[in-house]
Amino acid sequence: MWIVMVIVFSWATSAQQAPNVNDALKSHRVLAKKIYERTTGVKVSIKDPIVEQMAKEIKNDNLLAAAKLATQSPAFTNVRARNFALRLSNKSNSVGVDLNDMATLIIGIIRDDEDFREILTSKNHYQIKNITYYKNYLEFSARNPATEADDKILDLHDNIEKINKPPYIVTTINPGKIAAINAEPISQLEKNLKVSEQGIELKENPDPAGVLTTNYFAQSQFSGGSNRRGVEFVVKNFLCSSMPEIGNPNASDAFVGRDVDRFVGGSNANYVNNCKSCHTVMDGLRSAFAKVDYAAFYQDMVTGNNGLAYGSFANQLADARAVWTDVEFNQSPLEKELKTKGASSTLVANTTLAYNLDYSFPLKNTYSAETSTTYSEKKAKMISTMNTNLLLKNAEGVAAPNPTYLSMAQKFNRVLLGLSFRDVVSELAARASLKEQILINPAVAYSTTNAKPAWLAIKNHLHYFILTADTSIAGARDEVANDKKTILYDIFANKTLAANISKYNQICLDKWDQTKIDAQTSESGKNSLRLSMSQAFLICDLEFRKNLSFIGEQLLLKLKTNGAPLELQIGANELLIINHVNMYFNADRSRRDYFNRFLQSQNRLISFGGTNFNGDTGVANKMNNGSFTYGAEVKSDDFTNLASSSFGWRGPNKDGGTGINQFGRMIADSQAFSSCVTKKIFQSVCYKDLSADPKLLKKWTQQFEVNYKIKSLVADIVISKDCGLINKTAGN
Amino acid sequence: MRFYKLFLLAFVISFNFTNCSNFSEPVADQLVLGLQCEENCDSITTFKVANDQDENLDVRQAVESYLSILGMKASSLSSNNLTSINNEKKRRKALLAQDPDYTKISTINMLSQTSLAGEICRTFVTTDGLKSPLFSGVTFSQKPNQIPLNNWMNSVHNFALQAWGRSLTTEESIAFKDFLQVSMTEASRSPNSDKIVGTNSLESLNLGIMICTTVLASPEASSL
Repeated sequence: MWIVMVIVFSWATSAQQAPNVNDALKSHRVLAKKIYERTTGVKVSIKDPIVEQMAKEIKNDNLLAAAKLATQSPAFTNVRARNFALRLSNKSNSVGVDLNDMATLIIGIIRDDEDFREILTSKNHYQIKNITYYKNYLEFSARNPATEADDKILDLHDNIEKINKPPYIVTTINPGKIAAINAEPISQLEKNLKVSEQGIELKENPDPAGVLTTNYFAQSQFSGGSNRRGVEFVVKNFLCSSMPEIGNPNASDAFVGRDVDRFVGGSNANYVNNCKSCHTVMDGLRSAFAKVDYAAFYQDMVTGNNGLAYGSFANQLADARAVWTDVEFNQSPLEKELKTKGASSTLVANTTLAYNLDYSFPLKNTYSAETSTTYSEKKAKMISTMNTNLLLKNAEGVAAPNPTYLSMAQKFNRVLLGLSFRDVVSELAARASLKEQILINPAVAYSTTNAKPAWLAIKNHLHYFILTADTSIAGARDEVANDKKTILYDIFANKTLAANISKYNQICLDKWDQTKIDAQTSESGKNSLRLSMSQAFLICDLEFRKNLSFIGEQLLLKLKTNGAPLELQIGANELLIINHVNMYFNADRSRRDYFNRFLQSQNRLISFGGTNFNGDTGVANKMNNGSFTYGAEVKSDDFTNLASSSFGWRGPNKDGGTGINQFGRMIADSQAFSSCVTKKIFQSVCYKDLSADPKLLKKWTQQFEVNYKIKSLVADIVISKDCGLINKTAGN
Repeated sequence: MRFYKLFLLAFVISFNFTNCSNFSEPVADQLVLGLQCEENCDSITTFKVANDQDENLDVRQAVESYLSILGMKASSLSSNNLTSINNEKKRRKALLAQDPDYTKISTINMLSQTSLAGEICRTFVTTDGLKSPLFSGVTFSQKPNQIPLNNWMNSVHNFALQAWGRSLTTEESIAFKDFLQVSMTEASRSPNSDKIVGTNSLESLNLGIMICTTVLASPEASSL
């Protein structure tokens, strides 16, 4: 507390001592020092040689030459240009973000004194030299170069190099090569590295557009979504505007996409009043990015973080996505894959149904409108399916034919996956006998003596469900997740220890209680127990992420040695596969990561290519997401500019064009771009917001448009009366 | 502990007795800097400071500025010193200015600037500073109180000129003298008073670091 008081006192004292700020400056060096510091953003010694050089120019009454000297200094690149670039690279306009390839390009263009409009249209890129860890642009851009460059306090002025080529993009995955790599008896990390280096083919970007085709921009603007984010970012950072401002209520909404409901809440008026204006302009422009998507190609298998190693964005004609999975199933068609694996037709049909139901059912934690019609309908359908199965079970009892019972169990299992924890508990509560056999002991689940609610008591039996549990149960999810982490990390750290494998496998193997099976008098009763136990066994396996092949072998061995018919053995094996597939596809990201890491620990992770793009048009599939068929379908990267003319659109692409480069050209040619850049530069050098003075802004914007050079603009501004740093009042 | 006491004292001094980005006593500047007006003197006096608004430095700006003022180059730093400065940078990054509107200084900013300046000054004093003209008259192998007060004061003047581009005001001179006298007395009583680092007195090095930090961390050297 006393330190704070000291500081307050200090400042009060110094404020009282402050002399008149208009004291005449009688030293050329002092003035040179001040100009240098404002120009570069770096304090400098009064005795620095550059100050002396500048002082000589000032002495000759050539302030502009002095300021220009400052703009040529490394300090200008290292701080003024760097900070300006960093701010342009993020929406918060903060200098706190790490150095990235987008900012590097802007810094390079400023350093080289190029036409600043090039930042949106350049066909080249810039890299940082003298950092040890990159082999090519892809690696440079994805590996954050900030750490090493900043740790070395690297002089960017001398260490940014221009590459007279557009950056790489990821275009195709070579399936043959990847298959060969997967078959090699090498470790997972070696496989990953090889796949990254040899399995993914890089090509130069066919439509380069400065920062708009850098990895950093792609990562932040094209990952997921519908590529509208990139438009909004450009409008904010390069036009100093916002979507509501650029929106045009009078323009046609012919380009509004298929994911925009035009009858929001049942009313078209809601759409017209709240959505149309922005979407009209935004959707007309976003198709410039139609052939772009972003995917992290490489997951760091040590930390589990995406994008730490390799990442880039893909373009048209690209097989753009590597999916890491244990079994070679794509998301669709599941049926085909099951058949390939030799599954029976009944199993295929039941699994597909269950899979589709489960996959389409939104989890509560990702569905905000829990009371909506969609949610209610889906929930009812799920419950109905579940009840049908339960009735089937009740009607047929334990004597039910095995195949029927098996398919029912599969459905039952899948249905529960889609339900929230509360739903599971309530359904189980209503069917006490069933849950004893198949899932849990309801008495334990509902024990009122537990310190925490039911989930705690049943978690040992129901891990599988709890992971999809209602997040409103405080702590449940985290606690279970923590359990998983502990176990997983242990496995990873000691995966080669036989004792460790046995330990964890035994947890699941204990689900098999041969004594109970033997106690059954009928064969159908024995089979029923075998099935329920194998079910519990599999669930356990899934939860603890055991060695799939080992568990599978053990399960089949158990079934076989205990007299299970062949049909049940086959069914159990299929069930094993299905459960794993479903678990993978239905998992949220954190669960996928766990799964991937588990597979990595077993050296069993392989990859294969998918595609995010339409084979005919080259348009990213996500551009046409949505179920409102009256919306516009994006078939190319042609874009249309419907924004208000107040932005001063000029040049060959003022009304629209094709692709990202022409989009960049449209933005860079506009008056709003010049005005925005001028405003930002003026602010950073003079600490004055020109928004409040349109005349002055216009004057300096015109000055910028003389040559579009940032260095010239800064030099002109810093010595001007408008900036206010110094006044030259001749004759005084 | 001793170093931190002195460090705190440097912090207080730096904020109590320096002006805030204002230039004063221009005549003195000319004389000391040898920048006497030679010709066309009228035109020199026509330039005036019309805007003294402060901009706090972000972490990279601060490091670049401190190194620049001291005439040091990052590429010449030893890996140990680079690591020390980096560690300090990382600790202070989020506490220094980051956002576009960072003209308002906070106590956290001030403490962080002082800490960062202290680390760079430590590097400077223990390397280039030992032979730097900034410390002309200071023989670091001697204890602080074996070095004449005027020699220490001369260093303060040198630092002020280098960083602020002006001489000390009378008030500042008096304050620094008091501060140095107290420090020299305290140093002689310190349990470390006889401690030698290499061939230099630990307390003299500390006092050198403190003078450097005091000047660099002042608002006049830590804002634009």
